[in-house]
Amino acid sequence: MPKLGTWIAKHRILIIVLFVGVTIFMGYQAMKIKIVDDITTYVPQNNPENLFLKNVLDNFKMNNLVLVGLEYKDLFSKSSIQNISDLTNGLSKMKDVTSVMSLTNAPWITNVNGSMEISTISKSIPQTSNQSAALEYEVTHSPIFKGQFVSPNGKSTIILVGLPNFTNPASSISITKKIETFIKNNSTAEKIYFSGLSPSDVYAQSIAIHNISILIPLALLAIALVLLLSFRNLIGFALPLISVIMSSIWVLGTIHLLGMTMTLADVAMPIIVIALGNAYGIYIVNKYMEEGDSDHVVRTSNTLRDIGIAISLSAFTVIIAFLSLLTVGIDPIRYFGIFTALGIFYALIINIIFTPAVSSFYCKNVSQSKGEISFWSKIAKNILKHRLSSMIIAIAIVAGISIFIYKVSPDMSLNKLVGNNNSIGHSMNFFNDQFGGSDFVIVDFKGNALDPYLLRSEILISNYAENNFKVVGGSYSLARVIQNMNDKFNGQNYIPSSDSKIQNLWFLMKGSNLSEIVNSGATESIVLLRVNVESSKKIKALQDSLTDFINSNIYKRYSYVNLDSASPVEVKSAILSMENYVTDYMKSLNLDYNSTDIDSIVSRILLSSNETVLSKDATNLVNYLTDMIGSYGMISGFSTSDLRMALLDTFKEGYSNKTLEDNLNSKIGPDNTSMISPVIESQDSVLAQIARKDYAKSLLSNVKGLSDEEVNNLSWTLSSRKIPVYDPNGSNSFDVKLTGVPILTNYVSSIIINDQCESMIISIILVFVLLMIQTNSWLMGLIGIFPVLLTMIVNFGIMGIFGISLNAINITIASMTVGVGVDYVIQIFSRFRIEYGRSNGISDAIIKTFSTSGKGLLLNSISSSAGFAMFFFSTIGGLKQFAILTISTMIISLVLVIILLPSLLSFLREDFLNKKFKKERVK
Amino acid sequence: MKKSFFVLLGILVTTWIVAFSMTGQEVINQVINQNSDFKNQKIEMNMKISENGQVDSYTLFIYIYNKSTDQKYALIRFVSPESIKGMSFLSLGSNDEYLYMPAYHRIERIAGSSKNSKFAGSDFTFNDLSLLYAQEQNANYDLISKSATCYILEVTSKPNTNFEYSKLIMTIEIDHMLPQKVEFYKGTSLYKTMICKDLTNFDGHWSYKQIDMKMADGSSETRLEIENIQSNIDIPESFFSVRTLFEPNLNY
Repeated sequence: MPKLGTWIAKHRILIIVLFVGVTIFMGYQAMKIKIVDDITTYVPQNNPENLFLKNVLDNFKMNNLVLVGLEYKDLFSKSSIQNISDLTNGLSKMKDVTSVMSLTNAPWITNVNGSMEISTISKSIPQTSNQSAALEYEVTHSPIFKGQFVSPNGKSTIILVGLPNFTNPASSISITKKIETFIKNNSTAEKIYFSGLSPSDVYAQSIAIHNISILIPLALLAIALVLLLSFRNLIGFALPLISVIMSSIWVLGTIHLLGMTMTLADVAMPIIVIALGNAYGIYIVNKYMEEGDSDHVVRTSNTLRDIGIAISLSAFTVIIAFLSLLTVGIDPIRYFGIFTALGIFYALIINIIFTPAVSSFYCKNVSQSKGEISFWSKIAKNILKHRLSSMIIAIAIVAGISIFIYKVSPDMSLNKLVGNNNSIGHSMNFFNDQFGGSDFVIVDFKGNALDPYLLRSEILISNYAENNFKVVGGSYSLARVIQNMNDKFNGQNYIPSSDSKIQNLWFLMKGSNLSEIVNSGATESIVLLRVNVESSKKIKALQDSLTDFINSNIYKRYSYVNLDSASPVEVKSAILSMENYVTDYMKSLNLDYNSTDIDSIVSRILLSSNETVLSKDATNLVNYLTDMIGSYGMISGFSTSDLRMALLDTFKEGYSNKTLEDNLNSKIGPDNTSMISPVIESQDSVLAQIARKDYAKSLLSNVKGLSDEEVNNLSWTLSSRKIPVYDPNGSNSFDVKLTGVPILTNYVSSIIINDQCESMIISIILVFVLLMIQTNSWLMGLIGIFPVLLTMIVNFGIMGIFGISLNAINITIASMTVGVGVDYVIQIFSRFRIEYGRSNGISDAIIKTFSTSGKGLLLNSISSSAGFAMFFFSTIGGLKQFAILTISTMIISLVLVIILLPSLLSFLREDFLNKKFKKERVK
Repeated sequence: MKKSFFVLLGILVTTWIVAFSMTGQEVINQVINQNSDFKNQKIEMNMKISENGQVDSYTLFIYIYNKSTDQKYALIRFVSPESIKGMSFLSLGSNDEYLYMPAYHRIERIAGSSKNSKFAGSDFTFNDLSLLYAQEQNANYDLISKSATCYILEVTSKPNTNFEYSKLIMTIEIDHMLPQKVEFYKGTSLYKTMICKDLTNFDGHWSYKQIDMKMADGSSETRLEIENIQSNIDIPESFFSVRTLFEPNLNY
């Protein structure tokens, strides 16, 4: 080190020119840095959870989904609907937009003057206020559109825009900005909001740039003020500042040179480098100014001789602490660790080489103030006097705070990280308030998407999620669309168990925009559950419960039993299956039920013969048939009453084609009979199902809690004769799995705790080894690491007290704590080593150590805290929490080091210290 | 006299015509006169829809009845695949259309405004198909060029009409007066293109066997393969009724 000091002093101009040149180059690179915050990049790209999500998003063109929220003065007016239609068309034509789904292009099934229409709202834009009112009523009462495309209050709408899975995040940001510009220029909405990964990236970039541009100058100003007040000379305050500015510029430039981007959490990185790195400058400048020699070469050499090793050790412990984040299985956090460590390394290099080179132009000597020495002597004396009680009180306080550690939980969600007071927060609030969520949990079904049981499972799962979890704002699925279609076309609000019925409905939907919920081959489909992601705990609860519900209640392999031709064993299993289905249905609606009653109802419905149910429902069936014949315009040449009479007689005599034709012939004549009898005869199976449905309805209407709509749904379901039953050897099967960005976020959160523990253990072990090497004693290593450990415990306790979650930013706090705490320990051990050699005993050495190092440590703590305090001015909520943790780390770490180290050192025996620090004593 | 399916495609274009330019009117009149003098007709065809690497194939019969110059009846029945066998559409006029769902044994009246929706997921709209058998008069028609082998016509919609294309550019082959190619435009952009191939004589009547409709963005393509065309086969008017829809097997 002395030789290095001499060399630096001799080549100081060359060094200054070189470092300034590198800084200019790196500064130019740093200006081009990009910020991208995509949760899918938080886990390795080959991670199975990540791969599965990407695969699902690819299949359903939902990669990079942009949610556009529009709030209109009058959403259903002609101009607003036209505007949404124009926006939808305009977005569809934009290059790189893979899909657009909106109120105006989603399949819209409606009844126009008694005629069914499968179309889109864009093709029947209301022209009058009455038409607008009618459209509003229909949309806000549609299970497909309400909550999905239109807010339940009918004020706002959503346009979902799909983008490709760009390999280059810049492309994604670029197209998102074009979409935002297009919407802002063409929309007549009063308020516009954007959500989704890409808009979040755009916002993250602007928020990050805004925060960096404000926080760095503020942090520098705060540190400058502290340094100016402490040193009261230009060199003392300017050099530590310049060194950390250069370090930050270098590390940002390096990131860009390596072709990498920053995440939102990385906003903290330059501030950390500034706050921690300035200490090295303070130590160097402080020591240089204490040197009495007038020759700048000697002063520089002596400075590095006395504190060069200590500063290097201190920096390396911080570097090790941040590199311990490499054990975290989340890429951006690993990079955060690497680049923060690199920033500290740059700070060390700059302070070891550049700072002394500049300092060497300064010739004055500044000696320590006696008042300050006296103050720190008193502190040290008092602690030594009450060493045992001091230690007990400190440990007791730590123990008290540690009680709250249990409240700490991980939460990697973006909204928790950024908070509410910014564009991302405002958008999320809009989607949460108006639509019950801003993101989607996806239930992926791999199997025949048109299989009746699979579709019913989609309904069960959607119902369960919507009725049992407040975080779920609504759902959208193929099953909902088919059920709605069946209701509109046939008045049967349920999923039929007949393949051909579903195929008929599916055929009518061909050409409709359903690519977001079913793939082109109908071999995979998804249920989209819109969720409020404000609480990852609630999302986790939803995930766990849904998984349990699916595992417990949904058959993955099954077969169908036809009750009209089933064996007794098959009938038994069919009844059991439907009993389970009805109870699951009740569970999904969050209703209490009596299993015995349900079992009894199901058995009675399924075991009744066709003849029995037909005879019970004759009047209804006659009405059904007469209405049907009438609606086809076939009542001509005979009266409705004659037809009714013929039909009633047929049911009285026992329904068959022969009795039907006999009665029709006698009441309406042979010609009319030949005209309508084929139509009526085609209704055989329909009549039996209607009769069974009516019977089921009469029984189910007594079940408490079920609404009319739910009774209707269950009645139709129970009227089917084709029943899905669990069958491990069945030919039908499908797989169900949950995925989605909120699920991936939870996965990331779940790996954080383990990774955090691992990273802490590794950093503590490595730092312990470093301390052991420095002091040549494992006992000294243990003494040194003890206050650091206690600081970490206090920090987690503080997180519990303030309800701060572990996220991408504050996961680094453990590394910070180790780095900062050990820095203090190394400075004290380093000084104690010297003072012990010059003193007459342990107590004397301790007092002198604190007399000489106390001011530097306090200054370091205050200046770093001042830097971190600037996080309070951030618009990113996570950084404000980080400020609490970093400042408490700086203060608590210093307090514990001051209290515990003198006390612990004073317990050591002199012969032990003589042996360890022999050389220093001889010197 | 047996007539080809392409007569109907010719009619398709004429349906939007209200005020022909003289040349355009002469051309389209010739297309109609030369190819539409039949009372009833049955067309058997296959329809193949290709989208995202997936191909859906259907076989369907189209029955047409010329009630009068202004009124045509049509019944479309799907005969395969098995899952939708019997699915039928009946048109007795622009506001009198029905859908039959065989699995439900039900008929639903369908609305005229849905005619701009895709037909069975194909690249033809209901309007494209219904215009095969029903004339409307809400478009302008101009002859924009003529060569030794073909006429090029431009069809544009009249203001305030329910026509989803901004214009059609149609190439008519002179020898048989059949549309050979139709380009459909939305705004100023090409939306889709219909190209006809394989001119065939069906029992004395010329028609193209293959009609391809390709979306301009390449997202999908529909191919109609005409298997057979029979004209004037004594299909009675009563065949075109809701009662027929309930019949599992049709007599013609």
